[in-house]
Amino acid sequence: MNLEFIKQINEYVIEAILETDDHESLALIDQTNWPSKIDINNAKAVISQKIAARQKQILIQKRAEFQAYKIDKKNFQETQKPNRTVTEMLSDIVKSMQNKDTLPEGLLMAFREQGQGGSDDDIKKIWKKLVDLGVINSNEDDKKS
Amino acid sequence: MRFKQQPDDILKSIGIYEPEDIDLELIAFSLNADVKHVPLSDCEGSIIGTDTKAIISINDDAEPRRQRFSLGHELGHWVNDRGKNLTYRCNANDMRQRTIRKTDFRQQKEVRANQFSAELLMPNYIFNRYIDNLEITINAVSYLANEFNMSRTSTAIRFVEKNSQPCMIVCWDKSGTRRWFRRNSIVPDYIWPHDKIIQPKIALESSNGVEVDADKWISTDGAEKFTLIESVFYNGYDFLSLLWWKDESQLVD
Repeated sequence: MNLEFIKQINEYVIEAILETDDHESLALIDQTNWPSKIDINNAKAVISQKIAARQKQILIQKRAEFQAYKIDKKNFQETQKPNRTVTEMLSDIVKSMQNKDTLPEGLLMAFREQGQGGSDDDIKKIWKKLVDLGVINSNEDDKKS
Repeated sequence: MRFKQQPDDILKSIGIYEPEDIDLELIAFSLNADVKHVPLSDCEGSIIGTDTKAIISINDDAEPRRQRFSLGHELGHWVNDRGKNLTYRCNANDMRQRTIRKTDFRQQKEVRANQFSAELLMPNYIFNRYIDNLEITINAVSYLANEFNMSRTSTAIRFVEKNSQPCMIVCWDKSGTRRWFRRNSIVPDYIWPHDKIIQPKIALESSNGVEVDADKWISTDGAEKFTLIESVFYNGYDFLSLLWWKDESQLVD
């Protein structure tokens, strides 16, 4: 007996049930060789438990992925801190501005407003956002060297 | 209201089925958005994004439940308005927009983001389980607000929207002028609240599940012949009256 065969039987059973009227179906319950109400309730309970367990498992897995992401991000931020000077950051921003399709409009405006006459902190903030968004690859120069 | 992705689907895809599991940072992560809680001087929340990734900043000076709603709102922009060069800065006024103005496209997006936030934080398939058999009073609103970690105002609006009994929520300023109202689909369109209350100090006194003459709040002809159940509360800015037609005779006639 393979999966295809079981699926085929299932389809026949579903078809037969759909063709039967409600009174006929209900009359079958508790008869010999047909499931009792207790059987049906037990089956329902088992299915509900399985579904709830699966839902919980998905949530646990997503939480674990999120935790791992937060740790990765923290480690990444700690390692990249000393690697760039403000001048290099400014150069990264200018380079990223050449591709306006990937650069969010808000950052472009913020850079125009603050970047050219703004403080080092402003430049660092904009650079950081572009790194977080994946527009600037902060390790690009490391790879080249 | 149409969304590009339904809040219910997003939550189910990460296994959320209970109110205490509605973790917005986790939801943001699943949608590829980073969240930062930082001081913001001129807005409640902002989002900046490319077509694949977003950074959301939320004003950490705001009350925690307000921060939750703001984050849901920005996720609403991310899900529905994303594209190249996504940038929004949303202030408290944007977060209060509930009714669409047909000529203002930007405002429509704010209304949609607010509705998205309400549905994400109080999703249909969870919220409906909790509102069954609840009386429409401030006690019920407070209970739901605690369960879902939401403000009483947002909760009351959702409670009215999803309720199977006829009810309405009306927002008044201190002078008794109506700011906005929501009736659920069971209340007929011809039932309207007053534009202005004549003695606001008396009418807007706090109450919880009190039977009053319907014409205290309703201007429709013949309202004086009927009663309804009122609950009045103050949210720090405005007064809200929650109205429930427990006796439906006014609506039937």
